[in-house]
Amino acid sequence: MKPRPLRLLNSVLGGALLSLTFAGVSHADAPGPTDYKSTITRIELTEGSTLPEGVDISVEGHDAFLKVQVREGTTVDISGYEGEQYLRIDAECAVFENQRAMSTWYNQERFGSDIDHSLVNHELPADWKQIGSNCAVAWHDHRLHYMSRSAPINAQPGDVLVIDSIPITVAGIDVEVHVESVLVERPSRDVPLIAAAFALIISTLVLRVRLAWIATTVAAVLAMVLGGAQYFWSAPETGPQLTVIIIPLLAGIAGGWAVRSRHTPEAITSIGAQLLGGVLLAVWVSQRAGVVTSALLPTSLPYSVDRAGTSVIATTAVVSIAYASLMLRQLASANAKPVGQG
Amino acid sequence: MKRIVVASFLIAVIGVGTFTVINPLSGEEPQFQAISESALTDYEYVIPEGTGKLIDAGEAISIIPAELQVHVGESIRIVNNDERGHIVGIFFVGPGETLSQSFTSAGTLSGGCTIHPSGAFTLQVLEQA
Repeated sequence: MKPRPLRLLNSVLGGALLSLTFAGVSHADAPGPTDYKSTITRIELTEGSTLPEGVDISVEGHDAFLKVQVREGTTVDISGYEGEQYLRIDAECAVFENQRAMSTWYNQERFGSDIDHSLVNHELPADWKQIGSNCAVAWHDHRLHYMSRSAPINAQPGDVLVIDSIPITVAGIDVEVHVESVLVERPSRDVPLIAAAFALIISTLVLRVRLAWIATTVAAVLAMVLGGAQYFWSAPETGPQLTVIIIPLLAGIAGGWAVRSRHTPEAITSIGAQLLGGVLLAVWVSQRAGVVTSALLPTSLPYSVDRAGTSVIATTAVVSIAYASLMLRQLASANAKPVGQG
Repeated sequence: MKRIVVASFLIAVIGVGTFTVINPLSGEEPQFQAISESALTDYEYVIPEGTGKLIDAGEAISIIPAELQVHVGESIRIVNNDERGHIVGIFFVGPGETLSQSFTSAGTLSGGCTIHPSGAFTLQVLEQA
């Protein structure tokens, strides 16, 4: 059997490793909280033409993606920023992406990605890679939204920051999708702050009656609900990350393990599980931190519920970590006494 | 005494956690300060009336360079005589508005730009020469 400190180290390192792993996986740029609302203002067609039945062009993720959905038998061709072949949907609903297009790499992330120029070549025939089979495609089009992580200087809520148009071809018909993006007023911070204060009071009461063990599990269940509302709100073509559900699920398992093992002689296992649950919840919160301040959220729930819930989970995560740390310290002191006395 | 220490630790950790949630960390970005519209500036750009219509018609507009290198202490003015607002990196200049800013700290910022054919603008603010 491994010595106790070694097992504790394993537990904490395991938690940290899990957190880092999920942080890496969730780096893909799915819709997130934003302060900008993009809309399609007008769709212009080649004169005298009409679109086939079932064509739907929409903005997904408030301002992040443009999506085109067609019925089987209708083809779509989408050019990149430099006029290159970028995306296409064939008559059998298969969706392809040109691996040699600059736009394929530049559109990986909302604010533009680094382009590996050794892969890009618009002179060679397109290198099509199938990326879907459901007659629908969504992509980060940088003409659709404001292109900086920093808030625009001198802009006021209601200002139109972006006016642009995006050309696509549907069933051989040239389509110009006119878009604009507007700055939206940020919400009051009252709701998350009140929720955090409420959670702090509850946590303190729970600590007094030594029920802190259940706090992580309860917060994890709440996080799964919020994460589920985010995951299922996003169109599948925009690549929503399952980690928003899996991380709290693991935190809940860790919290449950902490509750289950708290009265066993191996108290360190329970404390390690509590610590792991708290760390996982903290990672989950850090990935969704923007929901507290941003105007528009990626969720089907009322925004105030998401903001308040995320604040409560943030507070609970911190309390869980602090409580587990204190328990570890107490355990270390208890173990140290006999040595000191001997 | 022990309880006070524990409570202080908890409050400090929760405070830091809440601050982190409410104020997401940002990278090394230059800082700006609004200055008087009548003040002399080092860089001045004017967006003429009708620019938006020319953009809609597919014309390549080049009023500002795609990359601008400036120094802390210098300043920029963008005068928008157009009937629509324009974005220059992170500067928004509404229709008929003038934006005057001085650079107060070094850093780099990139963003979209409606008055350069590339559609992008990078501002690099260097320390004072």
